[in-house]
Amino acid sequence: MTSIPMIPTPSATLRLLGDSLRLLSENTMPKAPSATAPIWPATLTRILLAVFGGYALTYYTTAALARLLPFERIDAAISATLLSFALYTCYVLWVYAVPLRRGLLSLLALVPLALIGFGPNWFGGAA
Amino acid sequence: MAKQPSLTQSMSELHTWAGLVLGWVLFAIFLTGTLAVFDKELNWWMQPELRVTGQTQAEAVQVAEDWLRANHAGASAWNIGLPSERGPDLSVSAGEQRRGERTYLDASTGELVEPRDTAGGSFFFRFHYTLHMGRDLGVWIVGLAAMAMLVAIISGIIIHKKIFKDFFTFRPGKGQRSWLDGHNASAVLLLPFHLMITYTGLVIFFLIYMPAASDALYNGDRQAMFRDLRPGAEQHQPQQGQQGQGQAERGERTQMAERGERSGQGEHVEQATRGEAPARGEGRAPRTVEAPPAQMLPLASFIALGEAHYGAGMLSSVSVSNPDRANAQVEVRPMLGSRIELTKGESMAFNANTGEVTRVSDPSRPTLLTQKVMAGLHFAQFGGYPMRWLYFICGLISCAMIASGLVLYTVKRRRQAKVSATWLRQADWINTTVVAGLMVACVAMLWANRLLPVELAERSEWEQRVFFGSWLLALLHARVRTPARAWIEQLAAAGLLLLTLPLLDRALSASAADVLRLSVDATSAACGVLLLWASWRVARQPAAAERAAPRKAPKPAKPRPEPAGAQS
Repeated sequence: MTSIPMIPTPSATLRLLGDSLRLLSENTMPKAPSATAPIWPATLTRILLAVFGGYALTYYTTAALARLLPFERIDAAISATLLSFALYTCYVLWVYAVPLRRGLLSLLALVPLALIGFGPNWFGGAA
Repeated sequence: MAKQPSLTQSMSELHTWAGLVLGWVLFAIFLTGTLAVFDKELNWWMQPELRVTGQTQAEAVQVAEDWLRANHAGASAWNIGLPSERGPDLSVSAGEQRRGERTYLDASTGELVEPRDTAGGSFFFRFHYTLHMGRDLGVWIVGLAAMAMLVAIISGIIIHKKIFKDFFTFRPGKGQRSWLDGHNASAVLLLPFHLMITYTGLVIFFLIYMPAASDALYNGDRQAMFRDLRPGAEQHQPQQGQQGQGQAERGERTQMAERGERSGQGEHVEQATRGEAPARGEGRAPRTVEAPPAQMLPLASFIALGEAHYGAGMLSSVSVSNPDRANAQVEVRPMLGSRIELTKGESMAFNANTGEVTRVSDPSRPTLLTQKVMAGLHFAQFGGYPMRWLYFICGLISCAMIASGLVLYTVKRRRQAKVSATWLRQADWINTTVVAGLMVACVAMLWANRLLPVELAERSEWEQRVFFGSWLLALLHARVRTPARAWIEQLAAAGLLLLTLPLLDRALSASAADVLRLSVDATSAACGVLLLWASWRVARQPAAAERAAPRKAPKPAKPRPEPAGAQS
């Protein structure tokens, strides 16, 4: 690939936006990587997924873990929270190790995790 | 991007991203954190009007009590900061002032001392976790940087397959390879330290960064959580009623800080945000109607009582609420370093008139203890000076690792001609500014401490302006000079300023030299020599780098990472 400026010019930014849209519509996997295959959209998606997706997943995993740990309430809360930074780290590494599509699919886990963690708050009323 | 790159490739990409984007921030965090290891010593150095009197804590507290009774008889509370090994000053305050507003006393004569207003070593401490951006934004950015560090460390290990072999490999004077070796050696050598300091740094603010568990199990009600944390602790009046989940972060934090200060709980979250003088000047008077006058036991007697519990020489402050009243209460607080567990916010209370113990902090429950031991490992308050020096040196090596990683990025990219020259030029001057420029800025602040007129209004703000001003100058300098010249000149400037700092100190401060100040001077000179040597090595070696650098404005093949990372 040619050198791609790290600080995009306006035109590069536009191209980048177009590329990222196309890429998403093509299921994030362009069939034939051309010489100008944009690495930016994929990279950007991955970064956003790692940072924000990672935080969201860690947040709900921590909540779910705190619910599930068979300790007293306060001990479960502290233990889960202390572990959360390790979980976050592992997730970020994992996102970089697998194809982007699988990374995006992992966001689906948010639903059950949130239900375990916050279900009682939302539906049961008992906190 | 058609096919998934190998694990090493993707980890390498991750390592570069996490390391580069937040490496600049990380270097600033690590350098100021390393300096903050000696924050109290720097505070002392920066107030040369204060002198060591050699009084015991019991004698000093008597002097303070006499002065407070003479000057603040009706105050709701007295707070006394005791002289200690690291900070031999005696300070007092009256009423509910939380912070600042301290009055310094000469412990032998009881006279007022008015030291210069200074940002102090505490500036580095605060910068370390807020980046001078205010607590909310700064703490989050530092947290993000710490996560990036954690990710960079683990991905670095994965990339680094020959971890043990490479540990014994160092090929000096070989341009990029030397940088790689230096980066690897400093990373691998101190891997446990890097991991420990990063993870424990995150754990200090764990409930701020990751409120999930308290949101889920306590519906975001921090007070309920604190009640569970310290079931035996006395409860003062609730501050603002119950917490809703939707309450803004800021509100929560303020409230927690409030609670922490009032009741000595909640410290596990807010311990660092409450500033550099944890145990001092925090008014704790319960709001009650005035009780009738009564005769208190001499405060000096509580020193012995406190030491019986916390260990000899382990007290940091004494405070009295409702002094000379029937409901007078004395609280003694331990220094942070009495054990690994961070004891911030802990205290022991007595009835001031009878000497009877009214409250002792319960031992922390195991999970809380885990968190507090982790925080204590980060604060490095235990183990005395040998441990402090160990942390200081490890911190320097961490700085060196980050700096060499940053330089390695540009050296490697230039060689592979993979990214644009424009971008490399940007990366070059940012590297120089962040690494060498920050060191210049730190020393410049110490110089400003001696050179700015003592009576200058807002003096401590001016010291900070000098800090940021010289950093800005370093940035401009790095932009106009070629990278090699910028490195050489800024390293030399920082080195010279450090080396001559002791001369300035001896020339301008009237106070007798004491061990603490002389140690700061000596350390400064030693670091100065190190930086000058680094600058000299860079200046001597550009030829070696040219081979690797086809473009003009060559990156210097700097000898080894230490100098770049060595601090001021």
